Amino acid sequence: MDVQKSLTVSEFLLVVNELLGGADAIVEGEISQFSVSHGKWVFFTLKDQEAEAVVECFMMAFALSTPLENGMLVRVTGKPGVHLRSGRFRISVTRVEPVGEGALARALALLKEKLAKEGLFAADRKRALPLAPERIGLIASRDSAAYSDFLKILKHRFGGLEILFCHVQVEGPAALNDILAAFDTLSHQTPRPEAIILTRGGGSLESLAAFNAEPLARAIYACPVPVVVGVGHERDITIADLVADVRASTPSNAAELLMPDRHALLEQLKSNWSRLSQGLNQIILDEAQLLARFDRAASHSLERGRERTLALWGRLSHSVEVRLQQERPQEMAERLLRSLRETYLLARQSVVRSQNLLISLNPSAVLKRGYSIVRRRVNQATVRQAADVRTGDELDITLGNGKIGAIVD
Amino acid sequence: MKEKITFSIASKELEQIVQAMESGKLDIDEALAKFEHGLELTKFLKKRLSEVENRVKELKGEKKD
Repeated sequence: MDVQKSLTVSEFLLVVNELLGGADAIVEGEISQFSVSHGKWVFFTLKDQEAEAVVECFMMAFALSTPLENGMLVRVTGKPGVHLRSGRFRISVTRVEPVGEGALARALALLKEKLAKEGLFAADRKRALPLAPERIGLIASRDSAAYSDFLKILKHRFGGLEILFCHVQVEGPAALNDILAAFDTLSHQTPRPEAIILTRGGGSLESLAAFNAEPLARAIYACPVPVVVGVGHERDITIADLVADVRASTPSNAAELLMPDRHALLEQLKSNWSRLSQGLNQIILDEAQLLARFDRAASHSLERGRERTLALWGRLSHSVEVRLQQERPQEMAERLLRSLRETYLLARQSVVRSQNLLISLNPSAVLKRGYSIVRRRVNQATVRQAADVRTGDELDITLGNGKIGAIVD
Repeated sequence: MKEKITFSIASKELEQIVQAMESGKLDIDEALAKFEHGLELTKFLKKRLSEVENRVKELKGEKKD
């Protein structure tokens, strides 16, 4: 009688597992009995929606790239085998992904909920874009319409910018890592770009997977400079949109939000230019009025300078308006400045002359020449004639230098 | 003017000069000096606004795993 050599239980299970082979199985099914133990191990059962068949699944929590819940349709990848300690057959899952729009949408909703709770979408965390950044980071696919649209609109709005561009896949298996690497590269540039733009065209929920991935949300949140996310329209809002400091509706809109329009800036410059002129004009006017009290000629000369200023300003601002490139407005402005300085210098010399006259009329200057002022001590009234005093009155005599007391005899 | 001045910085400075000019607190010497600086800034801003091209520099990202 042949006695087959018996195996220990663990030997037996190892043989079984070996017979199952080391190859990965890919299985689709609906999740039930989902649970997480100690925050580290994930257990669930996968079942067919119609037939009554189930398989147990186990995975490490860190390998979980998407939130799961019971009833969700997923595709798992992993090694099938018997767990030695429990003797139960199960799949050791390395990768799990939602299947179908329904499951994707549900997983997305769960992730949104989680990140919102952590404050990644909070309005008070959103950083403002610089007024007119000169150095910007761009993450896009080189061949996309998003890339060319963004650059085209940007050029319409502003020139002379330095754009640090990182080419990435915006969908497919490489997309997420590409985009994460681009954020990393741009954040480590010196000097750093002042803002980063992530842009692509619209797409289905499935093709936008990278824009809905948790690691990208965290990268945008941790980015040292403000991030603009612009994904093509007609689609759901991605998680990247929600975390972004500024959300653009399209790639073109991203350029519009990023840079002010040069025509608007030119208008603003014109307005500042004219306020500057009016301010200076008012100051010259005030000065001319002040001078008029002392010296009519000086005031006139300054007034003429002011009129010249106004005329030149008129021509100057007109030129700035029509001919941005033209050099002449600057020459005019410089000529104006020179002429103003000369006018002002002349006016001032005239004032100095007036001041000298005033100084010569100052009583203390008269006293210095040897005259004196006599006052009655009792009321400090100036004595102008002999009849103002009587014998015995006390007097104060003010000299060019010092005072003397005296009594009338 | 300072080296490495940016459009934003120049805009802000010009805005401050305009405000100072309108404050009524400047004497004519200060006003002329401010005006001169304002003119420099205006020239710079005007020049920046007249630039038409942007420069794209492609960076090679290192792939992370």
